[in-house]
Amino acid sequence: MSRELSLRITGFLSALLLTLTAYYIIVNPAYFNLDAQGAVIAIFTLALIQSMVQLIFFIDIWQEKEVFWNLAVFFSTASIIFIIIYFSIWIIDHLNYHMH
Amino acid sequence: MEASDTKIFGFWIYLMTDLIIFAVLFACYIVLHGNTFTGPSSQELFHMPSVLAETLILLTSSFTCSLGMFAVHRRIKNWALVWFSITFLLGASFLCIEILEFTDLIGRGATWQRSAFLSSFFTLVGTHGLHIAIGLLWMAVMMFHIVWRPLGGHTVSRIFRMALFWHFLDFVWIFIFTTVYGIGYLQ
Repeated sequence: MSRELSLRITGFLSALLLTLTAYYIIVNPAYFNLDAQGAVIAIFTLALIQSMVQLIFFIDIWQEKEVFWNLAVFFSTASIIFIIIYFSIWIIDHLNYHMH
Repeated sequence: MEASDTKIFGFWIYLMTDLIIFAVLFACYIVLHGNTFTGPSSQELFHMPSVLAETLILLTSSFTCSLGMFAVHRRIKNWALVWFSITFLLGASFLCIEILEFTDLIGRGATWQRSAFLSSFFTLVGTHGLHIAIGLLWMAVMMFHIVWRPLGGHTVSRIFRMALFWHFLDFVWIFIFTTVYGIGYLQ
């Protein structure tokens, strides 16, 4: 079996494992000794790991010649997304607090 | 830089801007998901087994799509067609489950007019579903290309971009699964 094919199978199996773990944490957090907040942190960690797995194993943009520019665009987008999501939650939370 | 590299880079930039659209919809959903306006909450509405089925179907379709791309790179038309057909069927069944889920919600009075939570839910998940529908159309066109055209550089580059789009949709779904269904069901 070629290296490329075994990489894809590894990616698929690890994504499958991560998805199933996240699912069982969601439906039964008590089994994993997690409260609601701990469960949220756990499933977000799993989601981040799985997104990395998919980026590395499935989205094979990284073998292109211009990999530097692909990465540059990706990381600037990631920072824009962080700003949008984190600061939206932050500012709305503060407004909500001052309204009470 | 070759022409196909430029096209892939341009398409990559498009995907990143699409990701920003999804990020804005995610931010809306996270902010609004408690505002049920005395209507049904996320925990009452979500049916987790069908969400798991959707997730596994989309994940498997991403895998079969990468196998199709593997065959395309080796210029094996038959296997490429087999894998892309499987991917297409999996994508279509994902869309069917999602449409059934939406009709079920609407039948129970949980329409997008009911509350801010439901508006943001339908906008986010519906936008992803629309992308899946467009991806399926694109995949069907690419399968006709594989049948009728030689697998030259241009066709391979087009199929590569379609596969990239499909993996991107699975990538976005991980966060829909976690943010919308995960948090919605836990809290």
